Amino acid sequence: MNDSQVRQQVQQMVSFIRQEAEEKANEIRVKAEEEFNARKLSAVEAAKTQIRSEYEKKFKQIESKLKVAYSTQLNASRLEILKQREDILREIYEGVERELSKARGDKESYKKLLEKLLKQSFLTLDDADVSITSNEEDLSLVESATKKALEGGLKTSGGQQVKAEIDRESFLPKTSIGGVIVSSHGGKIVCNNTLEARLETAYQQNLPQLRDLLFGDSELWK
Amino acid sequence: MTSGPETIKLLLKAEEEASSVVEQARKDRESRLKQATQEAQKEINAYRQEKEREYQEELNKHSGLSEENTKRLHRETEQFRERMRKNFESKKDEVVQFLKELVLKVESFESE
Repeated sequence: MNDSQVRQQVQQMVSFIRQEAEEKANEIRVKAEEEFNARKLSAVEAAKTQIRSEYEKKFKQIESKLKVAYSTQLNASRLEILKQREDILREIYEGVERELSKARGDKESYKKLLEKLLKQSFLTLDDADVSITSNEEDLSLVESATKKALEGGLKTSGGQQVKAEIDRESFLPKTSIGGVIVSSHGGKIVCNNTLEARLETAYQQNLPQLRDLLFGDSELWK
Repeated sequence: MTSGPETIKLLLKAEEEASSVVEQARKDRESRLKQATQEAQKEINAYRQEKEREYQEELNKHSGLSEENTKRLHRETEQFRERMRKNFESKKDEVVQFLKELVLKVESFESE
């Protein structure tokens, strides 16, 4: 080989080495770009999935939080309305009590009422020996009303003469608005004909009707 | 003239350059891969901001609605109570009289 042939061969080898290196480097760069994309994509996707579910939860919590808040307020409103219904019924009740107290002020008609209450109690108990408890201040009215009620000889269904004894030691509470309690067999059988007991009965028996009258109006609910 | 040692020197130099080319490519690869994490983080941050913005928007929308609902509820409750009260006032005397008469009306059993 002459010199120029040698030089040419060396030159070929050098450029071969360079080319090899360039190819290798290119290969690394291409692969690096692929890896870059894959790595970035998977990091982004994983994080997005996590963020998405995090926010889905937060979004749902908005709804439920506000729903809970609203239903709490709704309940408060319902309670207010229920309370007002109770207030109104109580006012009615107190109104009737006031009216009954007034009625008691008219002695003559109150005495007639006592007489009817007594007679009804005697007939209800249907017993020969009965005892009457009243308000202390009503005592004299009750005495004459009892006489009247037994006038002409009131008899039990068994034909016995009814004898009534008025309790002069214990009385209805001072707050009582009137009427009488009649009992027999030493207080074992009781007919409570006080005005508050009668009011309670009238009130309870007519509660649906009262509710309907006071709260059932469709005008209210518009 | 190309002597033996000179040839070897040329070849060695070529090898050296070649390995530094490859070495550089490897280094580039390393830094490119580091960039992947950084760029991913940028996209992730942007995504999170976007979601947060949507969330705040939704939250405001709902709170506004909820406030309005609450006000409406209060208003309606008040109006209802007012109507109830008025209805009561108009029927109170009638109801009181009705109950009073029931209390004072004593069945006398007279017919029995």
